[in-house]
Amino acid sequence: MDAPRRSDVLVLVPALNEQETVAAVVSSARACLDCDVLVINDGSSDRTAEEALSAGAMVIDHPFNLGVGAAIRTGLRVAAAQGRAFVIQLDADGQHEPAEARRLLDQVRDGSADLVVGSRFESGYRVSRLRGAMMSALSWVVSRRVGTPVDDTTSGFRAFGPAAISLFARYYPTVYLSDTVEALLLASDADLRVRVVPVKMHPRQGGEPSSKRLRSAVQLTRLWLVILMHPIRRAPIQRGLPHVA
Amino acid sequence: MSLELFVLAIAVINVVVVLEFVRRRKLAESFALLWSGVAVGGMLLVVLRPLIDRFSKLVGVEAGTSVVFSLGILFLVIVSMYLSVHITALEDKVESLAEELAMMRGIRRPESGSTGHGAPDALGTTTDDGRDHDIGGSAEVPPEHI
Repeated sequence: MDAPRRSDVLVLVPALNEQETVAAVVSSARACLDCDVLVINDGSSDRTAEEALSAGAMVIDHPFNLGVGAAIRTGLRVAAAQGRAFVIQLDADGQHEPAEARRLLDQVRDGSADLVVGSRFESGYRVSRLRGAMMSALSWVVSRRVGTPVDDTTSGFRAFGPAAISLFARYYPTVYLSDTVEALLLASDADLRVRVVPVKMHPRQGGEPSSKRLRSAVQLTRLWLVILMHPIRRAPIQRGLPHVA
Repeated sequence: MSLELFVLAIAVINVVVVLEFVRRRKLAESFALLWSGVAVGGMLLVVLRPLIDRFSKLVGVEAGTSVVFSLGILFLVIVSMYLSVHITALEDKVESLAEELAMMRGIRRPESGSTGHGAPDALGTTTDDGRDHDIGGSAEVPPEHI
């Protein structure tokens, strides 16, 4: 790349058909942080990639939809290949406030944490009771395992330090929900320091259609299987191409 | 009586094997759930044996064992169908990836005064490999190297 100066911060924005919001997210991130932005186009059929480019982001395109976990894995592998020291994960739909990312970044920058999770609950974000109960259960188990109270285990608003980037470039769980929750368990296994920072998040619009509820139930069951078996499982292997060092 | 024990034993062994494979990271967790579902189905067949006996009399089947085996086979058929559907999706993706890879390798064009091979250089070089990486494609901003 012939860019004049590369920032040591790479902001990852996984995006699937978010043409309405991605440009604003990218602009806002670039305005609030000294960073480069990489939008991972996860098989969008709309103008997400073009919008992102016009807002000044770099774009990498998946050949077809792989999911948010795989998109972040791609982004982390790019970050490792580019030698970035810090990575911030940001949603393309505008739920995450880029100005809040600065607070996540500060914690990894000053070396007090390797992985920082932005928690939406401490700032009064409300969810349905069922969802709240499920998140509490997950939080209870994960907090015990990780050794730090984590109340928002499925948060995708995160900052990664060099140790975390290096760990996840070798293996990163990509299945839905594992990309956030299991990643915390893996980080803790590798003795990375996990911190939680309260952040403001904009509420998601629209409800869940019933077909999604069944899929969510299956995904949650799978996640619980992962959590329960995690202590006795072998170290994960990542098949496929080795990442470019 | 021995039928119940047999099916139960199979179901338990199934679950144990599946969990061990998950532990070794040889089996994706979603398949573990799938096969555990089959095992639970098998266990239900054992537990609900009285119900099945009544059901088979209703349907006109002589032995409850026939119904147990039929349902067991039905579960397996359903699982096989699901796997076939999954394989179909995977094959589509593999094809798609192979085509992407072909496009990334680039187009070999006939060169004037060449040996006629159009052969690429050693692995990894992208410039002098005799291939044209400009497919003449649609991207306004072509990707660069990472």
